[in-house]
Amino acid sequence: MNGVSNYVSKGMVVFKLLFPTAVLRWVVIAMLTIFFAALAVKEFLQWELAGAVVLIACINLGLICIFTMPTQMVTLASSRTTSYLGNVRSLLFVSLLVFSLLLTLAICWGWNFTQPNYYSSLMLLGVWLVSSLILQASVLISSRLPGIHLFLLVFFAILNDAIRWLELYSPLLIALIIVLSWAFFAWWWLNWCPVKYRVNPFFIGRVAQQKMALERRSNFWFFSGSAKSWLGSRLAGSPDGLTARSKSFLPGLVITPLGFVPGYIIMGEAWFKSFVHFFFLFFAVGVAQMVQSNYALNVSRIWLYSPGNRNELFSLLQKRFWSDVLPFTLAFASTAFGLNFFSDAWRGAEARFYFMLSLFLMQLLVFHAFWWAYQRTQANLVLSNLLSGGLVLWWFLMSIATGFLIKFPVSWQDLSPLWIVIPQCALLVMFYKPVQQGFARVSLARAG
Amino acid sequence: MSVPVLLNNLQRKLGGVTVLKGISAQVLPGQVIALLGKNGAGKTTLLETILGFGFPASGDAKLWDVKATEINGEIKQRIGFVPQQDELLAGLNGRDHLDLFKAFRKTWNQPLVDRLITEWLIPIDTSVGKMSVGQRQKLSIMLAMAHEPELLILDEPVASLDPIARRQFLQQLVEIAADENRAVIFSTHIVSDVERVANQVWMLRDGVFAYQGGLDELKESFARVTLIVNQPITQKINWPYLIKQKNSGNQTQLTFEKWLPEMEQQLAQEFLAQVRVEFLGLEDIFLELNQ
Repeated sequence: MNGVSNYVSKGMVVFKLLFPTAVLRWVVIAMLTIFFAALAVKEFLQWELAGAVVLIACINLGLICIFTMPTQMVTLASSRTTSYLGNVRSLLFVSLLVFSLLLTLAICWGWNFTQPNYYSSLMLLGVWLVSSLILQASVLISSRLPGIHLFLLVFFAILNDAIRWLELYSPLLIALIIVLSWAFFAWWWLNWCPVKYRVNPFFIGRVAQQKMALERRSNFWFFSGSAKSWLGSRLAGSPDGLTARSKSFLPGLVITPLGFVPGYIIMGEAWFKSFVHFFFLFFAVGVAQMVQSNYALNVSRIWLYSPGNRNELFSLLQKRFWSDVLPFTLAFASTAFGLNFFSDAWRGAEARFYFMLSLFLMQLLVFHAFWWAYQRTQANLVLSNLLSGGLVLWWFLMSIATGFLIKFPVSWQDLSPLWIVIPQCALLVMFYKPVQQGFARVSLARAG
Repeated sequence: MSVPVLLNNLQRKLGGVTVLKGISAQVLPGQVIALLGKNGAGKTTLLETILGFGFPASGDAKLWDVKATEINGEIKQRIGFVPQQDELLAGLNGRDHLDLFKAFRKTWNQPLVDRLITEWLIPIDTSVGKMSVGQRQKLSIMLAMAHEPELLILDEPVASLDPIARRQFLQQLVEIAADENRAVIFSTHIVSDVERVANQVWMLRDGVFAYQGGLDELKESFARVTLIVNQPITQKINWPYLIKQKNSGNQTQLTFEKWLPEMEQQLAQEFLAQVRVEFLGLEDIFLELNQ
């Protein structure tokens, strides 16, 4: 094998290892194709709109890599099978280093595209430093708590401020920190000896993912406690006792206000109010999707323990859904609306009533749309989640368009919330009867 | 009288593929049925269909005369099920599980539970998340047995058990089998276990039963016959129920799936051969049927 084909085949191996599913690899290849095609159009045909396509492709590629690379690197480094592939760790290290550089170039190009000549060439160093530190920290965190590294993405939100601050320092000093950070990371990475195989939680399927998460959570006091009933606990996937459930909310109750403090400092009061309003409503709607998705994973496990046939199981699911979702919705929505009442964005009680109504209708819709898709796809969780998640996304877009969620310049402030409520009612009419009647024919075998 | 399980030309499709292709069978009280089959033969799908998890594409699966997908709470109380992968909750310990199951069940054999905890060495106060796979499996089996179900269905229950635990589990099955009001169906790959406890065998191949009946009848019907003649054998023998032929010099080895004693003399006369008959063990029968 000659030198070039050797490098090509090694590159293919690393590509397949880092993106372990065919779907993911095709998405990456598609994004790269779009990126290069749009770049060619922009450069040779001078069509500026193609620049936006380049930017979107870059953001997608960046997110995919930030999402998968750190956990997959840890998985591969801890795998005995891949450890026999020779210098795989060095190759992975080089891959991360190259990705950090490409990410830096993409961010700088993106800034330059949206704000021409705004940044100096020195910003490259600053962006590379921040990107490097985020990626290195992501791998370090993934080695302990896989999947948690995603919260580091929030640091990209303060990239602009960080770069301005870094520009005050000598470029040589920043370059030195970059070299030192990579040297330290290389030392740790090449010498790290994982005790056991660390499975990548993103590629093991929802059922295994849930089992793994529950086993990990069972080691924490917050998630321990007694159960009230086998049915409720097995459906929720965790003990359903009042104390156990209350304890499980404590981390969120502590971490959320702590997260608000830096948010307030970074964003300023006006943006922070909008953010909190958005945050609470995001959770108010998101909780329905989360609860529903969790139930679908466990519903087959309670079939033999539920007191009646499938119709009675459906009634039980409905009851449990509302008893889980309603308290959260009321708490989150009241807080959000309370904040909104004291802000300039208050648009009157009638509009708020309709918006509140749309929130509850959305949850009803999530429940029915999910089971509608579940019945028709023979318990395909991905498609069911896509449909109900897509509806949630539509609600967000409509709420932004009407200026209820966040006031953007593009928001149509005078648009009535009925534009959200009426389509919701129409969809509910469409889903309600087929779901209520169709549950008697729902497959409960091996959801996946 | 209604039978615990009645399957009538049962077909089941998964993702467009027909996994079960017209299975008919019934399970009577007192039967211990071993479900055998290669990986992917459809054993788990069959058990799940019997329990009403999924709908048949055609045909019926009935539990005590009620369609399996429509069973009510009353019937569910008469069933015990151990899935291939346990469904215990990581946040609870063994005792919590016992308490929750006890509250749910109408009958509960506490002395049996106490005995199994001691004999099977189940760490009842340890969190399930910290138990070994084998310990979790033992707990799952105990939870499925504690209410003394009339129908006990186990999907590869011994896969994660050590030989001692396996033997103890089989002993428990023998005790259940002694109760003529109860029936057991268990899938397994460990053929020697089947010979210890089962009185019926369902052998699943390509979505249909390659054999369905008593264990003893199965062992008596499969025979490996060696014909020894004066000259080398090259011809292909065409006899009813002959499933395999292997020629080697002056000998040929024939495997019959429905062997009758009178066939020995018929073979000797037709081929002018010395005939030696050997009955196969279950493992060999399984291999012959699945190769």
